[in-house]
Amino acid sequence: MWQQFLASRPDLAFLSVAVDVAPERVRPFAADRPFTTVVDSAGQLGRLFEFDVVPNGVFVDERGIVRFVHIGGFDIRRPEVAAQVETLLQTDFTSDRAAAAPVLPQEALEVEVLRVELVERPDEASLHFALGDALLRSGRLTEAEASFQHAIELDPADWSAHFGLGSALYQQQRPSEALTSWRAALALDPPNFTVRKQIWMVEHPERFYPTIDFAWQQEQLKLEGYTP
Amino acid sequence: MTIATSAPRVGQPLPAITLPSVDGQSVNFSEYQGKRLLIFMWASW
Repeated sequence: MWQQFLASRPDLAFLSVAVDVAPERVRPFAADRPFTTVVDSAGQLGRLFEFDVVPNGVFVDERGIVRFVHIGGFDIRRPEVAAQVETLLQTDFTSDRAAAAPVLPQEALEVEVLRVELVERPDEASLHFALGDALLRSGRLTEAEASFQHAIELDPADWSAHFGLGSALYQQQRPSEALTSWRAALALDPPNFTVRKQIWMVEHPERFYPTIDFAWQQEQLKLEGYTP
Repeated sequence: MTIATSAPRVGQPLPAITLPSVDGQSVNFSEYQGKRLLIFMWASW
């Protein structure tokens, strides 16, 4: 899968690292590839980048500076992954201003990649959700709210978009609106304990601090008419 | 899946690690200095 991607990007060097403990298991997968495959049997990169899952991607600029790390699910067949790599290739890391500037935050890069994707696929609810999620993590709350709203317009049955919207609203000090969104999420996915507990934490904070009242939670489930 | 937001090493130089290739050669990461490099980590399992 990488050969095709790399064939049209001669400006990108590529190093395949197998994290298998037994190198002999790697050889069949690495045969006849136009790139180098090394074996990290001792787990050096796992300790360096603190990962315990694969596949992962790390982008390094011309000066040897790590600019981007993606842990888990780094599959070039996924459009958003390919778009991430393309954006990195188009970023100028060599100018004095770029070298002096802070490293582009991962969330900002993620937002830009998703915005590029949305130009091509503006009616894809999952992309609007992903953008809302990235904006939320960036602290860009009003933008996140708009993205989640857009995701909901496209797919009203997506509980996660309602949940994300609630989170964006809550962080803007709008708790009653947040609760409305979270209740919409719960109505779409009644077994969702994450959503249910979020509502409880806002409406009944005394049941979570200083200790969690698990007995109360069981009673509350019965009161709310939900039994798993 | 995590797109590392405050990942270890982002903004820092890649260490000059040496690893063996599948055909028995030694490959040091510093050999890629001057080029944009994508390191892809995977497993056969």
